[in-house]
Amino acid sequence: MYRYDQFDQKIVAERSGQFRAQVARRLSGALTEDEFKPLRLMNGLYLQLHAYMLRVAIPYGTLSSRQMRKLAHIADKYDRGFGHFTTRQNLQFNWPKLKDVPDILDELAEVEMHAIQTSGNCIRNVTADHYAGVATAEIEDPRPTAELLRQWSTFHPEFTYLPRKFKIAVTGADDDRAAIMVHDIGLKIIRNDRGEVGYRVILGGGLGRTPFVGRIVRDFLPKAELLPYIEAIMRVYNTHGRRDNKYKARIKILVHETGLEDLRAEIEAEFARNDIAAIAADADEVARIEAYFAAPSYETLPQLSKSFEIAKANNEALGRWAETNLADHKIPGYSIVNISIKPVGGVPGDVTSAQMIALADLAERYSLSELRITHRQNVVLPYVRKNDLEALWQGLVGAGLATDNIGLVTDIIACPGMDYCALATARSIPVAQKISTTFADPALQRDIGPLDIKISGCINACGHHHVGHIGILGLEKRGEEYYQITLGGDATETAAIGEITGPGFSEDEVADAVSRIIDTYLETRNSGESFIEAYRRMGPSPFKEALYAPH
Amino acid sequence: MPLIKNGAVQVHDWVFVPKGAGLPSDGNAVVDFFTVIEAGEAAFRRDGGIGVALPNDADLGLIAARLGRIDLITIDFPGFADGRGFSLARELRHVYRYEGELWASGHLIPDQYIFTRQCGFDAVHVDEVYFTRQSEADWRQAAASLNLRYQLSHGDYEGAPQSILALRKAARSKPAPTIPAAG
Ligand code: SF4
Repeated sequence: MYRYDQFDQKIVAERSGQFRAQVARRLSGALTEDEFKPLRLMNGLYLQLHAYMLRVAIPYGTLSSRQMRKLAHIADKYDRGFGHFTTRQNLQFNWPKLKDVPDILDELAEVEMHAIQTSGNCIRNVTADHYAGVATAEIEDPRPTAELLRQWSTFHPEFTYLPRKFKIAVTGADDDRAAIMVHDIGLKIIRNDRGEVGYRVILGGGLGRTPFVGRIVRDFLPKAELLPYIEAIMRVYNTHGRRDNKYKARIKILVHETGLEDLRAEIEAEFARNDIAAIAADADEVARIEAYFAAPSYETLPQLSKSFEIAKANNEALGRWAETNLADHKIPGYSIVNISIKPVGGVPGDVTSAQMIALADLAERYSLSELRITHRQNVVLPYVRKNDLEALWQGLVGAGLATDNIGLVTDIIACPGMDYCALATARSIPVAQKISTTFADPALQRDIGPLDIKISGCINACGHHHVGHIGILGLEKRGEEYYQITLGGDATETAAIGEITGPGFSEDEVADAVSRIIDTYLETRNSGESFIEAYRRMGPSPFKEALYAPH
Repeated sequence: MPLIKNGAVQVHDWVFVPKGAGLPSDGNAVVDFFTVIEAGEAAFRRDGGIGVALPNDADLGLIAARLGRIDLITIDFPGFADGRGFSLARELRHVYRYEGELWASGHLIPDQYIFTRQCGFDAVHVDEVYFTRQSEADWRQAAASLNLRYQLSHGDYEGAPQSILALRKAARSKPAPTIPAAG
């Protein structure tokens, strides 16, 4: 993985010094709260319902064991012993004290981490496919691109006071695990007819109040022109993005109001009149970054591990876990291991410091000390030898991390909602817990098959409800929380925004409503048909019927 | 309004002509964008420097032909969170190749000083109310708080953050360090 050189290290250290001075100016009154707010946000610091919240960047979700141990240490020393993985591959601490934050930033800097631009109206932490570098069908590892963008966007002098936040995601694979269709910019690494590698650039996707699936703004962008082209997009957005209404300030609205064709023409004109060669990343610099992501030296192993096959056959629980939590690795004899942070009845994405340490230890022992955080709020170990899978699984069982539900109905994405978030209109965690308890039976979960349930506690959609097969949005009317259900959303390469079924449900009713949707699916599906396939075939009517017909 | 340049308050002799008032016959005068466009050549036939105050959404094409004769441009920051001025400055410097004096004017905070310089501003002309809260020392400290950058910058000035890309390039001309394997 990427390692800081002396310059990366220094800039992060200076940043925490700068923040220390900003806190002092805020406390002295030199900075008003209004002026301090964007500064603290650009250091990932929010003022939530009960306390400050610090969002730590995990660039493109890649983390070392050493870094994970540091997060555990921070959770214990400055917080209440746990952290929360978010849908943008970050980690949030829910209870830090303002006076401690500069010290926390110093501790993060010690392990090449920071909270830079994890919030605020700037270019946010760049996300990427969590199977980067190990996926079976990948044109190129997306992480060098993401790292280049991380550096370029860090303290960008021109693009730090944008109309609104700006999110970029990158994938190098056909299977889109990075939700690039619903980002401000989505980049897909592709190969053109001439065999050259470049990017397909998707623009103006996003969730929130007005969800849009992104559109192709450039079919093929040569790799070397990445930064000048992105700068052109950013300049057009910074200049013309709406600033009169924060709900219309994202670039998706500019795309929508200007029209894709006109906006594309503007971007191309801006691109053409700039000094492309001067802005483009130096080829040597790109090579320098890429070298950090070179494949590790793999062992030559048979595709199947005999010992693991025998272990699976003799241990039902291990077999079940292997069925859902393993993914194919590009190298024979290796597996990608998904670790679910969604225990039945638990809080999606929450990990205790003890679990962080266990994750760090297991990664060190079995995955070359590397972990990935997924936007689905789970953890991935990318380099596990199949021969080690049983031992790894035993370790996970010991740490309470062996939940075998990846991609199933209880693998629910949920934002923190009203339990923490100052913007929330309803709670999301208790709803996730109730649904997951309802479907706790492993046999039932497997019968239902792949199903994404996503829950947000307000229209900002951090829980990605618009792109859940079943989406749940918590709202509030006259002091009562209620939940709107959408169906048919999809965050992958076949992206779609879910359709609202009809009137909402109370907190007590929502788990039952989800059950009725799932029962309808089970009754009407063709053989081998997943929930989303069945929904696409039948449309919403049978589900609406089940939800709203008197019964 | 105090002018902060090179991290310190500076005196200047520019007069800001209120909108609608006639152009003074001599002296350094800053006139608003639309007045300059209306005045045409007359604005340049005076004795004294001419400055133009731009709103942050100005169409630079309207004054492109005269940029070479403008001595000072100020770009308005109506609020510090409105970053359009940064892009306009870059456009002036990099697309229109404006080489005269350039000030960021209005509501800015010390933490933006480095960014203004990198985008091509020479100085910050800040509203009095903000300056009373954040003194010269705060500006100086903020200006020195970051000494490195990852992006292109407009020229170099004293105390400018150094380009990491240039530093790496220089380091590359020396024997390559061994890169640790992934993991
Ligand atoms: S969706 Fe709303 S409630 Fe949930 S984390 Fe985002 S802002 Fe908070």
